[in-house]
Amino acid sequence: MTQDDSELVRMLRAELAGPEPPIRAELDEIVRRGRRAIGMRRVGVAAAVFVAVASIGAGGVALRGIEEPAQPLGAASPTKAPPTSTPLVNRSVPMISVCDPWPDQDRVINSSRADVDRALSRLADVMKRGTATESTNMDIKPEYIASFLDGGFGIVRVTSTVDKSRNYIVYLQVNGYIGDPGGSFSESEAAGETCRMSNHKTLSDGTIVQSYQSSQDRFGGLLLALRVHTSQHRLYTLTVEKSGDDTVPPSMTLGELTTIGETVAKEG
Amino acid sequence: MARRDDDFAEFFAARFDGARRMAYALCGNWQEAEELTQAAFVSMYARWSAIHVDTVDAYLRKVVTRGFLDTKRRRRRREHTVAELPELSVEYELSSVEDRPSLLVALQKVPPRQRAVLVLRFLQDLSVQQVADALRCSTGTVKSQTARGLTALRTAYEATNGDVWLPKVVGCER
Repeated sequence: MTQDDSELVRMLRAELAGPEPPIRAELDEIVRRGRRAIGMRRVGVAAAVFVAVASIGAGGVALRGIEEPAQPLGAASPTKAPPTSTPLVNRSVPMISVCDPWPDQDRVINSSRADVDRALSRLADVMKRGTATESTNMDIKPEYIASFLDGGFGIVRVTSTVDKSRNYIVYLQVNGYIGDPGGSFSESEAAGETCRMSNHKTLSDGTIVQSYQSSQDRFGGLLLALRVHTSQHRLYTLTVEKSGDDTVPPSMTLGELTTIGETVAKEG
Repeated sequence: MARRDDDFAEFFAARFDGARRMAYALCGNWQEAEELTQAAFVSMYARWSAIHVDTVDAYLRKVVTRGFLDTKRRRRRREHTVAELPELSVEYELSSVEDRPSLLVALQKVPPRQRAVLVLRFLQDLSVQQVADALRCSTGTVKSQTARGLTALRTAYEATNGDVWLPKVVGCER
């Protein structure tokens, strides 16, 4: 946390310590509601037990009704086919949810700070060149903010004095990973989620690029995200969020973000 | 039951105020904060015998935070009719953070989950691991959400007050 952040938190604490209205809650009311909750829970448990017992009983009766006739003595029992073996699942595959831009650190290997620094510098350079917008006359001023939080995490804020839709914040996280990233992708994972996979491709060197966008404000403003698994077992995660005026969505496209991600991953 | 109620009453007297203040930081409204805190204490009473004395404070924070996030997730305010009309209180009206420009106003513009991380981490002084436990996520998520939350808070504060908050920028011109 920077000194500015510390000051921000100190001010917030001071403000929160201000006067407050009197407490209106009464212990008796809370206890009464609590007892009601206990009663409801007991009723629920009793009902569940009753249903379970009734189901077991009904199932037993039904099974007895369709019981096979007894085999005559000496008759050869039919040969049972051996159970078909199910293919083994590679348990080392990191099952990273497509819609979760922040991989669980328990399942990834942290990169060194030097790796993050290099990738972050690279990202800042790419953004400064205007790759994101493919335009050089937008007066884009990317900021390279050294904010690592010892978690392989960095931020590049992009601001434009000309076009507010060019204002966004790109978050970069660099991690290592274990397992086969190809195995972690599944269309079914995205089903029913609030974000959807937009692109999934494998480059010639084995790098896998997954891009997706959220359909609602699930991650607090996340609009686009990109995950790049390189063959060197580095995982680059880039997310783009709005910055400044909330009413103006950023104009970066998934294609542009993909280009940035591939460039950072290749040279980062 | 009497012993149980005595213990709970003692806990209620000692912790309700702090929990309500935390809920206020999360939702920015004293009335909603009171409801959140009451719901948390009701839930705790129903499970009082199963809660370990060493973890009771952590449990309370967890219940308040999750209650807040659940409310936001459902995107609807719990509204129910009551027989008694609430007393009109000028202090209550003014205590809403919507009415005065401040950091608390800015905090309400931070996305709920990031806000929860900031409140737990910096206002409740929890460690990264403790916040991760409370929100059932990884420590990496807590760290990233912290960074994003601070950025969002600063941006919202600047937008509200028109002040220029100088970020620590290095390495831009390399």
